[in-house]
Amino acid sequence: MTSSSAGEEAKALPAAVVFATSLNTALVLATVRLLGSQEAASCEYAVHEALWREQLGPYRASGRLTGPLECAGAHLLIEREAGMSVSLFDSHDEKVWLLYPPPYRLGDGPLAPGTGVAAIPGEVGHAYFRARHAATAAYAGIRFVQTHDMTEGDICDAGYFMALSPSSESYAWEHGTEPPPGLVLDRTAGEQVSAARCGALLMANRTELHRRIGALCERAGTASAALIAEHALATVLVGRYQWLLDRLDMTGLSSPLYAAQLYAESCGWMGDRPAVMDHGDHALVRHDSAVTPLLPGSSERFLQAAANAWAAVLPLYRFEAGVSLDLGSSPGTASLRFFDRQPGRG
Amino acid sequence: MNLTITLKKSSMAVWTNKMTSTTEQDCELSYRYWTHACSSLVFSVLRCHGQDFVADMERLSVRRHQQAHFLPGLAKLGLDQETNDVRRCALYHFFSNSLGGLPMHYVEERPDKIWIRYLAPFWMGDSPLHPSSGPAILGPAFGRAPFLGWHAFNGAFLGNPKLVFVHTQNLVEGEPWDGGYFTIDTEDHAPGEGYLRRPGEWGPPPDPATTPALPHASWPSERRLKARRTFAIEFMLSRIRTLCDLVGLAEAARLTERAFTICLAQLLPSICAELGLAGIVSAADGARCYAGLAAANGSNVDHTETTGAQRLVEYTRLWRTEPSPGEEIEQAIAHAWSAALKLYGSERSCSLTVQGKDDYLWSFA
Repeated sequence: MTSSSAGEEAKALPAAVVFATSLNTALVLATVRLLGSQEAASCEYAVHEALWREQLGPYRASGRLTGPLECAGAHLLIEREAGMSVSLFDSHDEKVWLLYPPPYRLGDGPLAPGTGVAAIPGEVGHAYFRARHAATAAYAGIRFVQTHDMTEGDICDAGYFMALSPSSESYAWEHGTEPPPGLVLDRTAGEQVSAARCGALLMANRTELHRRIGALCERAGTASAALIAEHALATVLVGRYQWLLDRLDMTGLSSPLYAAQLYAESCGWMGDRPAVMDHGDHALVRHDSAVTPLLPGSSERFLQAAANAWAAVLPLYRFEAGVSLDLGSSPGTASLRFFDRQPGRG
Repeated sequence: MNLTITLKKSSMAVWTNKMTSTTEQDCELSYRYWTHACSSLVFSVLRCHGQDFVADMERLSVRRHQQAHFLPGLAKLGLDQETNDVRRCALYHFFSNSLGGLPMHYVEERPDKIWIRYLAPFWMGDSPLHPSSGPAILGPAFGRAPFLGWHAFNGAFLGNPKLVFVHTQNLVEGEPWDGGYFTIDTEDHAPGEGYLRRPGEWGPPPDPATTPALPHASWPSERRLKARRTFAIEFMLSRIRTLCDLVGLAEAARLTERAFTICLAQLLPSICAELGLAGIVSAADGARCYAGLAAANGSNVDHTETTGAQRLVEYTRLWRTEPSPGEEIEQAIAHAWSAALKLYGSERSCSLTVQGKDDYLWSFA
């Protein structure tokens, strides 16, 4: 099950991207479900505001953000580098457009287009542009007008940079009634996504997952954040239980060892495959840092949340299977213990 | 050059480049389209009207479906002669949902206590074939809604007021499946009150050796696939009709348009690919794409291909069980198609003229 050959890597990378994007989307949706639209929008704003500050830093330092074309160009380069599909269109009427064709960046990403975007409130969709595009515009002393948003029922996300009029703010939402000019369909979505773009998407999604969990902890507290994260992970694992086996070339979980390996492989997709130890009637997965890459929060509550989410999915594979969290005897370590014969079942 | 091509149901989906579309491919495509559209509608309604409303819609929609299909379905599945109501109900749900493409467990603990489990991937968002993270937003009430709308009324339909469904696992509350068991209670229950919620009970594991054989296992593949397609279409149309009852035609049409626009924005490139279209670079391509999908749905389509605007006549199969709630709904779906076609160029569009019952004239530019 190690991804040693090029063929296995070619299969594993898109699966990792779908898994990571699904996890991020589920986290956003679970936040809306449990905290409401406004709080979810605030979290999204916090995630992207911090990310954008880092990503835009070199461009700010270079002094190149001088007008609409330069600002739009910076977004194009940075967002393409993160694997997003984005195009730039200069309509030569003092507007420089940025166009984001479907599939949406969330739910479940460019490799597995889905309709989860239909559930995302508009303010959550707008938060991305408020945090990023509006910040660029404010820095350059210009304006970003967002005209289209898939969370508002549009066929794409879009907007334009333009010179600032004296009374204008740096961001405005002016819902367009016509498709934006220069829209180009993303013909590289789905199966056509290149390995390089997959790698970029995976890195971006791992980073976003870290930031989302951090933002949730800050805004809702660690206990609530862990509950939300548990619900998100359980939704992804349960929905994709057969998909996980297929992508990892496993036919089933005939023993606790296979359950532990499945968990470890999914951690590997998220950047850190832990060691698995077989003990016959149970198997242990050891995390040296007491942090699981599936829910990378710094509190042990997130390890417990991950264990709970796996406990939810395991009966789909083996009716009596279970998992528990053993906090390590040495500080900073923890193990997940996979076993059969869950009390009260079977 | 004028070219007239007539497509009859799904005998051959469309004059694709491949020219090899089969009933299986047609039904897969149609099933995916309708299950995605259905998920998109549920999510759109939730976003615009909230958790309580979407749970109500789901409960009433399922109830509407039960009123139309439960008793005829029992006869079709050969269950009308079964005298044990617990087994009759459990087998009905096991057979009908398996036929609809949902993975299921059936476990007979004893003759008066039989478990059914609706396994993941969820029947909602985006389909059992294409799992999605969408259900992460659905609240607990949504998970209870189908059981309150259907299972709770089974006793009333069968004249057995002691028949109840005990709901034990709720997928949207972080459990591995939706499920529970039918049993006979000690007390009578009024119609619609044959539902009990008992979290924490698990019941016995599934046993393939004692799981009943599916009656449709011996059906020809084409019949099974068409039945699954019908399942998806009818569930979606039940939801649209229920939505019309709840919010009126205008708001239902607005939500339907939103749902189909998002569904098509996500799916249209893959629909084109499956129909052998490299893209939509002309009005004719737009007409071909729609015609291919309509034929895959089981509609009859006559397409006259000319050098200019394209006209296409569709004898739709959609409103077979109940009539359309109003032309506004058909126009909403047409508007969504017109919006989605603009992904391929701002000059692309389509419009619909409803010429009569089940008789549509489409124009593509």
